Amino acid sequence: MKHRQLLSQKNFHLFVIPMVVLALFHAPAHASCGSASCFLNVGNQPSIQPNGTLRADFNYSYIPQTGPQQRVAAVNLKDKEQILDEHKEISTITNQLQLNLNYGVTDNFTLQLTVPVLWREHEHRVEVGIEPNENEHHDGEGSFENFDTSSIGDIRLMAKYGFLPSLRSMVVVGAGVEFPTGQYQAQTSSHGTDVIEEPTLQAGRGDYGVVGHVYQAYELIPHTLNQFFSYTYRHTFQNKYGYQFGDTHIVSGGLIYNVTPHIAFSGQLNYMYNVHDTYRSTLSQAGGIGAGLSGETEIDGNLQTRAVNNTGSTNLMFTPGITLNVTDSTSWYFYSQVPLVQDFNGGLEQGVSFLTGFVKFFNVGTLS
Amino acid sequence: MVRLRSIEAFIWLFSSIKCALINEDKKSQRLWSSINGFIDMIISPSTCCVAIVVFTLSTGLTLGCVATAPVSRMVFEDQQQFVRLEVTARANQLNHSHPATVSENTLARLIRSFTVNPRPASSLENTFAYMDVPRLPESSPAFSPAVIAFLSQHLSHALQRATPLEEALFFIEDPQPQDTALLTSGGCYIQEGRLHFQLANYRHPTIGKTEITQTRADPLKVLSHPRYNLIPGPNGTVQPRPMWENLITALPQHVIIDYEHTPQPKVQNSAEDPLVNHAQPAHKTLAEQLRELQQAKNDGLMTEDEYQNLRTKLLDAY
Repeated sequence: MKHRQLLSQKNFHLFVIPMVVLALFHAPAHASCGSASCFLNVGNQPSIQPNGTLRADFNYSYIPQTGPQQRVAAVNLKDKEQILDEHKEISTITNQLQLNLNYGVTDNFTLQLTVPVLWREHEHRVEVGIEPNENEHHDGEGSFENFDTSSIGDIRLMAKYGFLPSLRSMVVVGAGVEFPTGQYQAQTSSHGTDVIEEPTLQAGRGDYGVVGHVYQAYELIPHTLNQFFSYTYRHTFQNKYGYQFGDTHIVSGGLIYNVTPHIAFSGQLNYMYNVHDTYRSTLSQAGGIGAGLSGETEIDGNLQTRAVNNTGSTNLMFTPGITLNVTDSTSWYFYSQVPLVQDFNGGLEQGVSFLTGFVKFFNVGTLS
Repeated sequence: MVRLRSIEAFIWLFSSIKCALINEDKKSQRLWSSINGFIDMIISPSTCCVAIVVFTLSTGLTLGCVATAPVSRMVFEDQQQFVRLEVTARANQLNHSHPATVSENTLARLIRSFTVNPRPASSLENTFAYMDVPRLPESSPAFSPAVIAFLSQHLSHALQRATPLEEALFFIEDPQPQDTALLTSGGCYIQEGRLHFQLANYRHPTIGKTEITQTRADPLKVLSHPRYNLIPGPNGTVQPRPMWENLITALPQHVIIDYEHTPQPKVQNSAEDPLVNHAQPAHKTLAEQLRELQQAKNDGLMTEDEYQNLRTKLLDAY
C-alpha cells in the first residue's frame, strides 16, 4: 500500500456540510470506480418486497477518480505481459446509469435484477520509462493517451430471502450471479495499433461472478429511526485472457431517520476492501527516466498467475443521503459519497461521488 | 415577541460579558487578564444574580412559548379510545359551524360510506414483523360496525357541544399480540353544512407505548406514510393537499361530505340499526370482541362451529 489519504481539510468540509444539512432537516445499491462504483445501501433496496410488488429503481452515479500519478504496472492482454512501472494513471470519470428491479415472489422471497450501463473516460501515460522509437519525442515520460468506452455492464441476478427474527428486526440473505454481459474487449489506438484496453477500464469483467449478501435492519424508534448493517461479497472468475478481478468485500452500516412520513435522511459508513487482481502473464520491468532510460527488461518469461500490484484497495466512505417521497408510489433520493480514508496501491482514488435516482413501486400481481 | 425579548436578553447578557472582558484587557492586553476578568465577573454576586435571573426568565419564556398545551375537553374516554374536543392549530384561521346537530344516524351513514384503497409501498420503510398486518383489498369498508357505532355516537355528541374554535378528535387503539397495536386517529368538524373528516392514521401498526402516547396527545399527527387512501361515499370529495406543505408536515387525509344535501335513506330507528344499537357495547375493539367470543366458547355458551362462524364474521367485518 503506497498511498494513503486521510481525511483532508477539503474533505472535512464535504463531511461537515451534509451533516449540518442532516441536522437541519432526515436508505442502501451497489456501484464501484479505474474501475469504481458507489457502494452504498440505497433506501430499502437491499430489503425484500411484499408478494406481487415490483420496486423499480433507476439511478445515475458520477464517480471521479484521480491519482498520485505514480508509475504503475501495465497489463498487456495481447502479449500476456505485465510490465511494472510502465503506466501513469491520470484520471478516470465513470458515469453510470443503473436499473434495479426487485420483485416480491412471495412475502419472504424477492428476485433482484441489476442492469448497469456505463460510460467511462480515462487518461493515462503509457510507455513510461521505455526508450522512445524514432517517431516519438519524449524522454521516457511516456505518451499521453485517453480512452473512452460506453457499454452495458455485467448484469446481476440475485435471489433474496428475508425473515423477521423479532418484532422490529429484519434479516435478509441473498445470493446471485453476475453475467459477463459487459464489454470487456474494448480497444484503443496506441501508436496506430488497436490494442485491448486494461481490464479495470472495461465495462465488463469478462467472466461470471458470484455474489453473497447479508442485510440486517433494526427499528430503534418505531417508524422514525432505523439502523442497518450489510455485508456483500463478490467473486469473479478468471476471464479468457487469464485476468481475474480480486474479491470484493463491502461492509456498510448506518442510520435512517424519517423526519416526516415523506422525508428521510440517512448517514452511513461504507467500507470496501478489494483484493489484488491476478493475471496469468510474464513479468517485465520498464526502465528509468532521463539518464536512466534503459528500455524494458524481462524479469520472468514464464507464464504465471501473479498479482497486479497496483490493484486492490481499501476505502472507507461516509455517505449522507436524503430521500423524498414525491408521490404515493414514487420517491427521489440523492447521496453523496465522501472518502474518509483510502488506501490504494498507486492506483486511482475515488473522489467525492454522487448518486441520484428515482424509485417507483408497482403492484404487478403474483406470478401464478 | 416573547422570543425576540429572549434574544434581546441574551444579547444583553453576552454584551455584559464582553464589556467586562474588554475593561480588563485595558490593563494588560493579555489573555490571562481577560480570563481573570471573566472569572471576576462570574463571581461578582450582583452580575451573577442578574445573569441567572435573565437566563431563567428568557429560557422559561422561550420554552413556554414553544410548548403551548392545546385546550381540550374530553367527550368520551376509556383505555383504548376517546373522542374529545380541542382547539386546533387551525382554529384562528376559520370558525367552524359549531355547535352542530348531526344525528348519530347521519354520521353512521356517512362514516359507513367510507372505503379504503391500499396504497403502494413506501421506499422509506422496511417491513418489520409487527408491521406485517394483512392488507385490506381494494374498496374495503373503512370502518367496522363497532367503530362506526363508536364514532357516530361520540362524534355526534362532540359536535353538539363544540364551540366554533373546536374540532372533534378521535383515537382508537386496537391491541394486538406482543405489545403491538393498530392505531386509527383523526378528527372532524362541520363547516358551512359540510362534514370535514380527517384521517391521520389508519390501522397504523405500532409497537410499545411511544406512538400511542404521541397519538393520544395529538390525534392529527401523521405517524407514517399512509398505507391506504380514504375514499368518501356519495357527495364526498377528497380535499387536495398542497404537495410541498404535505411533504414537510405530512397532513392527514381530508374528505369533505356535503351531508345536508345527501339524500336521506329510509328512516331507520336507531334501536333497529345494529350499528347504533347501544345495548351492545358498540365501541369495543376487535380484540375485545374476539376475547369475549373466546370466553363465551370457553364457558360453554356456544359450540365450536358457532364460535368459528361468529369469529369469521367478526374478522370479515373488520
